[in-house]
Amino acid sequence: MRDRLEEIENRGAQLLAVDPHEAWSAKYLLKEVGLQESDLSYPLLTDSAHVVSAMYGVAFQMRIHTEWSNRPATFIIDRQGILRYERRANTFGDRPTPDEILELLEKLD
Amino acid sequence: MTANYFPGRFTVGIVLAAAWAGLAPQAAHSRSPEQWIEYFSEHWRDDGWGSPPYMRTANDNGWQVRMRALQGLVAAGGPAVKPLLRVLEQGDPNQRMLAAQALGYLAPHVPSQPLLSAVRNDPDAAVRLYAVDALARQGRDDIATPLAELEKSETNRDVKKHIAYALDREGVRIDSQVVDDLRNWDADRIDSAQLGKAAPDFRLPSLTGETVRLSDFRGKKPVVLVFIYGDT
Repeated sequence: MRDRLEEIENRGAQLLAVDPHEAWSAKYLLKEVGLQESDLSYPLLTDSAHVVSAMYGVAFQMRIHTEWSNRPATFIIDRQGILRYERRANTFGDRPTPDEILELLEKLD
Repeated sequence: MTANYFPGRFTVGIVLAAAWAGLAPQAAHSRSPEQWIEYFSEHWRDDGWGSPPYMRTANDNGWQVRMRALQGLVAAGGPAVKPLLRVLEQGDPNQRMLAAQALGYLAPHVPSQPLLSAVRNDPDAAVRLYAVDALARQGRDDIATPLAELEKSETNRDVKKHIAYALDREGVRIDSQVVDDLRNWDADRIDSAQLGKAAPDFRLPSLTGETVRLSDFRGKKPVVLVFIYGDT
């Protein structure tokens, strides 16, 4: 999956990941899977005030690991800053594949 | 003309009523902390959960109730602490959970003892988990020992994990920027992302310490924005 993410970046798009936790727990979770923050090729943003998740309509929509978390979701914003694609998961793990994202990016131009 | 006049007025009436209904929950500063707790208790419905993984249905607005109440309580600041501690001790499970969550943002103003009591005694794991987070966010170095002790008797895997985060954090309190971001957030922007419209702009810190703005990429690159829940 991670080299597919590089493909997205090679395609000239910027990938941003938003995590609803504080940096402490996000780093701890990375450490658990043997990664450091510098191993990620994209910025992992921490939205611990939940304000960005709330603007995008995904805050506190899933209860996982005993706490309220974001509904998994993917958005594509074009070069002009217009929201062009949204997918809010209906089930756990419901996300567009890297191929679907590449195809959507292709269509933007 | 007359035929059009009344429907027109009627429509204006509906639009005004809708605008009022939409604005009512956002009058953050017109509600006291007690009224925010009441607002939450009245509007939060715990029936939006299906079977695991407990995702709310797409049309469920409970998350907005939680977000607005949390923001109102955090914006109230210090005066919200006492009523929240009362709820943490005496409320129903949903109220206690909200109280523990809100106290996490007010952590530097909160006494440790009631939070430790909640971690020790609350029958609801989510209340214990948010109380652990609140303790961690106080940035005190004297809670490591009692927390390590509680870690041994804790039965919930997730609460145990949050105790581990708390111990790993080495006494650094909640970032005041995070608290200000929540306190000053314009609740009118809730759920404002719409297809075909300008994507709501934001500024967030990255794990490597930079500040990233969505608008930094405008005119340069498309952005793929992925919301994760800790599934890095």
